[in-house]
Amino acid sequence: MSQSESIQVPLGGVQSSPDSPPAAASAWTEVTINHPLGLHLRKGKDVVQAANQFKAEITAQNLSRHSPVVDAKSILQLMQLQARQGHTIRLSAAGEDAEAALATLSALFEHRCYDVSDAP
Amino acid sequence: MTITLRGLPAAPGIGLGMIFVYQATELDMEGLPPPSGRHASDPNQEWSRFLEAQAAVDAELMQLSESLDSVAEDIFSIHRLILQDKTLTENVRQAIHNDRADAVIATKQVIRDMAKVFRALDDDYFASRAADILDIGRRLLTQLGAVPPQTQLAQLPPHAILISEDLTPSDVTQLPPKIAGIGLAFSAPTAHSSILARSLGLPLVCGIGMELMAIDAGRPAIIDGHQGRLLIDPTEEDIRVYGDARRQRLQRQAFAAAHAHEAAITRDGIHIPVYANANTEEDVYARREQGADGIGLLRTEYLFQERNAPPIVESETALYRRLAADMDDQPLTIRALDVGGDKFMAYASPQVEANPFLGQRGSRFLLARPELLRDQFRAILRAAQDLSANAVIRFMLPMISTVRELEEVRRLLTEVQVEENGGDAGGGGGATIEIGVLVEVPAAALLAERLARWVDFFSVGTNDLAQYTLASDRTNSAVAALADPLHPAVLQLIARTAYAAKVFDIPISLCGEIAGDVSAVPLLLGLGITELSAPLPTVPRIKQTIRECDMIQCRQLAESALRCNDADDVRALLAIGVA
Repeated sequence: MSQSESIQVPLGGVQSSPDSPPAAASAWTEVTINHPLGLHLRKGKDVVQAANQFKAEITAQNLSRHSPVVDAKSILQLMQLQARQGHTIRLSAAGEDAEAALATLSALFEHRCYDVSDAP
Repeated sequence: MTITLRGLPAAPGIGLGMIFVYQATELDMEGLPPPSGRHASDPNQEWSRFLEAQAAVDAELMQLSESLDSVAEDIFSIHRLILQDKTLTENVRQAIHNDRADAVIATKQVIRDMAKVFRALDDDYFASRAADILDIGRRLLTQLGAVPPQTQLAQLPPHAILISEDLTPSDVTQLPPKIAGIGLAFSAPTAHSSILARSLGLPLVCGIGMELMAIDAGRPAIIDGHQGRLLIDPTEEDIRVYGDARRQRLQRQAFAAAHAHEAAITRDGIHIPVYANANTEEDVYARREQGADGIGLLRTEYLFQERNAPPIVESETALYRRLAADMDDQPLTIRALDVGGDKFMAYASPQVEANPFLGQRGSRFLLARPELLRDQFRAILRAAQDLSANAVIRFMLPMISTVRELEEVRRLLTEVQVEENGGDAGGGGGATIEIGVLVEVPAAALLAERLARWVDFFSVGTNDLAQYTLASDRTNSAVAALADPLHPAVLQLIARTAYAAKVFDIPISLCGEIAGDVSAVPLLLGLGITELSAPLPTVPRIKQTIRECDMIQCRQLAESALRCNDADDVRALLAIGVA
């Protein structure tokens, strides 16, 4: 499929683009996915739950896949990043708690948390 | 003429039966009434209908996640999150308010579009989430009265081989407890439906391709979930061979389960303790039902994985105390916190490394963060105090590659023992504490004699030993097959380690996945392994296999295997040995 196709699908949700004016404060950062399974559903759930604790609008884009910009507060949009281990994700936030949101989320995205794929 | 379709093996087992075709047509647009007839008169009312349906589905999913096992719980709690997703909700709201669609049309359109977007993703894992979305959509539509509840699937007869383009997790949970198997045109072994099929014991082959859907209902077929095959119109011979294999498998399982609580003693009288591997507190308790003789590997990472800070000694002590109290003097083998490689924790992770499997893993990491090791061992010592002297707690050190590492770890542990026992390194009563090495680096196997005098036991971790011996990353699908624990090079290292254990008269356990493979049991015993630690569900069959072993034959088998050129030769040898 072409990448542009998935941008055009009317999924709503994606309100912010890099061109939209910053609300109060805006910031961005780039993180690398370290988890061996990538940003899978369970991990995505943690991200969405964390993102929803902030007022700032938070978006993510998978630079390694040239993905569309998606809303980090939506699990359905996050999954479309198809983020695998080693991919670089740009996180942007706009709003009064933008900095704090980015700090929390980049830790989660980058985070190397446990998974049951373990074996001795 | 038999047609053999090939796909990906996603859930093991063999099923003989008849093809039943399942078409999930509920979300096709053809099913929609003409748009003109369905324009919403009152958007606000339609929006309320949607919200009510959403709340009802949420309650349904909550109930499902509580009534089924932990696998299903995980899946349906994620479904709840998708159900409440802002993108989904917002798109439905827009369709109702802007496009004047009624609640049913709006839901159908949004779900269908989203499923389409996911199906088109090129990464299989993410693409197979389409099934999750459709599943939620169908639940919503059922609540809205647009789709009849699924009755077709629940009424399948026991000889049904269900074929479908894809199945949702809800579809799988609707199935009657016994059908012959499932074949899917799409999907992946990582999809939720595959995971559920495995936990239900239903053979499943996925990714067969659209030619599957050209098969007519009612044709006789065989599904082989081990090799990923679907045989349509099998010959008499196919039916006989597969039928026998299936019957034997079921008979052996039933027999093994009936004798699970008896000791596993070989024909010539050697007792082989069979332990279970455990990831959680529940696994430790569940070992009783399966007849395990103890816990051979408790992966402590999972016990505290939700934490953002290291566990406090008190809470860790309380946990070990609960576990130890349940053991009835059976050994409890606790692996020291094992991070690095492909395992990371919020509060304990090495720096980002170019080659994490060759980096600061296991004991290497613990030596760099000795407070983690000290606290864990302190908790074990405190838990051991309440126990009788017959109780045994084993503490197992992962990723030891040099004698010096082991010396350093032992020195740290002795210091903790002295602190805890007020100056006496010998221990102040309570359970017997044994310290052992998880042999998983070739260097440790090669120098096993030097390590043996510092430890009370060995345990061989064959998954890592194989990947390090064959220099192939077991998480990289392009080379993972090379990391075969049955490769003669790995077997040489196991034999060498077992020899050292015998000379120093210490037990040697084996806790890799291969310990759960019944065909490998005679070989492992022949190599000198004295205890096995296997995945919980396999314990009864492993015990039964041991009872059918004769040590002289096992040793002969091991000698032949050690002379093989590659893992395939070893497997061929095992196939003869077992038959």
